[in-house]
Amino acid sequence: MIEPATIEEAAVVIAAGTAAGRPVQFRGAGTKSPDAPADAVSTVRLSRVLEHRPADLFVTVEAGHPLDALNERLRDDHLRVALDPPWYGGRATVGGILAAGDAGPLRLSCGSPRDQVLGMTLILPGGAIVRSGGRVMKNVAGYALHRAAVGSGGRFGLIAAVSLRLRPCPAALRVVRMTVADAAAADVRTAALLAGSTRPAFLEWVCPALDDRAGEEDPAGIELWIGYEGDADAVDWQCNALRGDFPDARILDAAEDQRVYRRLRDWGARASLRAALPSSNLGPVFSAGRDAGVRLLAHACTATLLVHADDPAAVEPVAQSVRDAGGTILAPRAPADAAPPGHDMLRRRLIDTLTTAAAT
Amino acid sequence: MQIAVERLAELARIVGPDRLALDPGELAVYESDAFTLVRARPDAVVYPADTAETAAVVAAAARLGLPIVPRGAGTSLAGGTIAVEGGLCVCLSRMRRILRLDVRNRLAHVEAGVVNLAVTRAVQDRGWHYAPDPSSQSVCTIGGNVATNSGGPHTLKYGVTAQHVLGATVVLADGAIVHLGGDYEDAPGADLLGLVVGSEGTLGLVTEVVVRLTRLPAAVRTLLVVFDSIDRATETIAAVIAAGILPAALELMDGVTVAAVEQWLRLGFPAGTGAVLLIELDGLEPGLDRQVERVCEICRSHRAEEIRTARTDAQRAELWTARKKSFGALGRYGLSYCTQDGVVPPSQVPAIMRHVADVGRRHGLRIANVIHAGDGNIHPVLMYDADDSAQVRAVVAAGYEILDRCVALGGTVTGEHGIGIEKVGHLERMLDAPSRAAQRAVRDAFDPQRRLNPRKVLPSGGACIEMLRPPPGIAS
Repeated sequence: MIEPATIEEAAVVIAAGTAAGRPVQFRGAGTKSPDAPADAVSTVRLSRVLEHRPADLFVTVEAGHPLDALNERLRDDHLRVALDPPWYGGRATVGGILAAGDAGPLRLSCGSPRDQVLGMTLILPGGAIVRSGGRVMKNVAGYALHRAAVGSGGRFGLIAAVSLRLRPCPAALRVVRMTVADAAAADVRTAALLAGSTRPAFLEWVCPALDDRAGEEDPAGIELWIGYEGDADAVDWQCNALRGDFPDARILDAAEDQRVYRRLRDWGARASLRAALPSSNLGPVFSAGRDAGVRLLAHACTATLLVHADDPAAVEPVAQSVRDAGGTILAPRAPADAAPPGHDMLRRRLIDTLTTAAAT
Repeated sequence: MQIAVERLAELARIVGPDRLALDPGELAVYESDAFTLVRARPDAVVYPADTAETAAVVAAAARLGLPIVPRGAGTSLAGGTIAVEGGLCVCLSRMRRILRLDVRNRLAHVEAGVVNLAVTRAVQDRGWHYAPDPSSQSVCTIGGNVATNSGGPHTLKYGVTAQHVLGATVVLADGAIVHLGGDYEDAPGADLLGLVVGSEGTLGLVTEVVVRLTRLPAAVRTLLVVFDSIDRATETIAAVIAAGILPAALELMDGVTVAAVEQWLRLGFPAGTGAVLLIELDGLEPGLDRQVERVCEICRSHRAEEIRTARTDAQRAELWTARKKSFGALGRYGLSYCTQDGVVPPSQVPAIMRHVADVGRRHGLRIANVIHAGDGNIHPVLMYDADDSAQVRAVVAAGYEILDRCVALGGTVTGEHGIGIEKVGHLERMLDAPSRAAQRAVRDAFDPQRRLNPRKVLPSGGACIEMLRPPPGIAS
């Protein structure tokens, strides 16, 4: 592993690798790809906070800074980066999370990883250090390479530093649970919640149940976990409004909220399959998953599906149901999940022109 | 460039003679947009009916070697739709079908020519809206919004266009059609979609868009706060943001603007008003009044002269009147005006407003300010006599000075209008050489011949429009 101490050093290493015809691989904390080649470039030493401006609602950090430690630090100012991918023991880095496009339950209320990035320093495959975007919310000054780089797995270059949008920390979090018999009922309730009087911060489907509550509820049912964040009065009002609409809903004890939220967030850390699909098509996929005997969790309104399976063969029927439902397999990809040819061509040309840009 | 009419026969075969304009009188309409410092006439205007026709037109133009300028409603404030090299203007404003409304999946699939406000009108009865709301939302198109990554007053809380676009159908320079993103987050091509949003029609022609729908707020409170000095108003803005309050909108009108509005509409602003803030908070009813009270406390501690509050829709509309009519009111000064667009971090709003005032004094220009203050997006309105070439030069020079200071204060040269032709020189100055090379690399990957919206965003052959260059005395 090569561990450059500065962005400039990283650029030299990347330029040398590309010049030698070796495609350079990047690595953050290795939470998602533990096996990296010996000549992979690690961001582990690129972990400085470059600029922290709470009053301007942005922070600029190097890519190797762990998200968890960053949010710890921001908490003193009652601010946070509204990204909540699986925690991985607090090791996952800002750069790795963004390169993977990894998101969590709060995507429903706070938006996608791409939406949190105001600007970026990127090291192109040829070694050029370039900047895209900036430090302010509104910016149309040039092509947004910083948006393309999010979720790109490093194909356009190494994310070396990012400016992230900060938001006020919510004063309160409450979580509500409902269990329904099947996916059709889960869909009906999800549609009602989206159109109802409350504004969920997250809405998760889980099957089988998150905790073993033997005999308490339908063991074959689907759990809906609904979270509310914000002003304490507004959060309480929403929990009660939800129970008014669905009398079977259980409002969690205040002590349980954080624990359950973290379990929902971290559930995807060891997922055997990660997929995306239209929210309204989750039903048949959950049915297929239940038949295949796998464990499922979905961030149901932003429609990320996560699957756990002890038997890898059990995953394939679920993957096929995702494809049938018009969805996309994010990981692991099979030949059937290749990018459309038009996208591939554009990406190849972009990588070529970006690589050459370094040389000129 | 002059195109021989017979070469355009192929275009007429694609769209029919009714949707191909060659008549100089008709073409004159397309020689400028809302940026009036530069004019150039396209050789022809074509109005495709759908994506397939657009693709056929673009493919034909590729064979003919014609430059293409895509256009929506022509509301660009940066000259984004001006045919500086002539060629073919592809006007997408007749593609205005809403193809699909799907509130269960929180999306609308629309053609590029659909007017921004039409999306909201189609879903508001069901409690939804399309959140980005540029001032021109009653005429500007979704395609144009995607091209410039449009904002608006409510983007402070709800985000700009990029945060509300899930997918787009794009016609590339050779006429190929690609679908980027789709009906859900992480759909294939979302990374490339991120590039296309804000690319001002230079990477491809966006013909259809899947936009995210957002619930209408359950409750809204609008405050109008009068200050005797602009400094107190801008310091209030910085304090509200620093207090962790996220208003739905936080707008400022300066004294020049307020005086013009008052003269016209008689809304009862005291003489000598330095600035007025329009602050909107929204969300659920419980807890909202507590937020309003916190904002009022901050305003009072910054010596607000007067705080007006609206609780009903009618009262709210009344408070917004001053803001929405402000540009019209400035027209009463009887001059041409150039609306600038720059951004600074919110804490730097007081500094940039002082700089704008100083620039106006030094160049002898009357400058009014109507700004999206909460996210630091300033819109100085530079008034000038278009027949006085010295004043026109002063406007260009003042623009450079204001935007250079925006960059120096940690901001950028355009927040929502785009680079267009107006700011090609500004972007060049803002970026270092490798970053400029990366910008060219993006363009070259999509359109190596640079036939799509030529000379926008990036200069062609190292030149920007002569009169928009930095004037002598502005250091490069």
